[in-house]
Amino acid sequence: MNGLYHTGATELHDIFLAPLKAVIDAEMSLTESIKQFIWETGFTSEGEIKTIQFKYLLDGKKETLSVPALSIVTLPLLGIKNATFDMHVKMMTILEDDKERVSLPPLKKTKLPEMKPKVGLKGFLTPHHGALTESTGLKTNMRVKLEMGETSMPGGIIKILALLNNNLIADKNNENE
Amino acid sequence: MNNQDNQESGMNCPRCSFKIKFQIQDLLAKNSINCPGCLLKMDMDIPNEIKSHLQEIQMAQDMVAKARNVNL
Repeated sequence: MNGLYHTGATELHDIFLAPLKAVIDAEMSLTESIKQFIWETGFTSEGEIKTIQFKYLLDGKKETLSVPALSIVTLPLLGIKNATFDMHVKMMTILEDDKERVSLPPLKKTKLPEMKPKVGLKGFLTPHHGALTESTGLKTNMRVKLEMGETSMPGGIIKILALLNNNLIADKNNENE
Repeated sequence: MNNQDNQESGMNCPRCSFKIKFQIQDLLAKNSINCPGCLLKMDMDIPNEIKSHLQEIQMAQDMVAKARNVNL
C-alpha cells in the first residue's frame, strides 16, 4: 500500500481483468474435461482406439468393419458462446507519492533514491441503481462493456476427430461365408 | 461454425457410401442397422464398456440441451 492511507480503490486493469480471467479459467477447465472425456471414451488405457464392429454381407462375403466409437456419435461439446460484462465504474486518477510513505528511519545514513510521484488509474465498481449510487456516494463516471466470444473447437480436438473419421475405418476383414 | 458440423459424426456405408447417422438410443437398443441409402443390413457388436460411455454421452447431450436454454 502506497501513501499514508489506502483509498480502497482497485487498479483499473484488475477490475477489467478479473471477469475475463474467470471466463478464461472456466474455458480451460471445460477443455480439460472434454479432453478427459474423449480420452476415456475413445481410447483404451493402452492408447488403442475403441471401436464398434459392423458385420454385413457384401457380394456373398461376410465382412467386418471396425469403426472408432468416437466417430459414430456427436459429442456434446459445450463452450462459452458469449460472455458480456456490463460494469459501472467510478474511475479516479490517483497520485501515488512514495515520499509520503511512513517508515522507520534508515539505520545508516544512506542517500535514498529520488522517488518520483506515480500517477495511477484506479476505480470502484459502482451500483447500477440510482438510489444506491446516492447512498454510497459512488457516482459512475465510466461504463464498461466487455464482450467475449466463443472460439471454434480447439484445434487439437478437431485433428483427433478428423483422424478418427477419415483414416481409421481400418480393420476390414474378409471371410468367405 | 457449429461444433457438431465440424465433427461430421456417423459412418459411410461400405456399399453405397451413404453417410449413416446414428442415434445413441439406436446404438444402445438395437443389434443391427440398415443403411438408409441402400438398405444394407449391418449387425453391430458394441462392447458393454462402449455402451456405458454411450449412456454417459446421452446423458451429457440431454444436459447440454437443457443448459442451452438457461439464461444466467
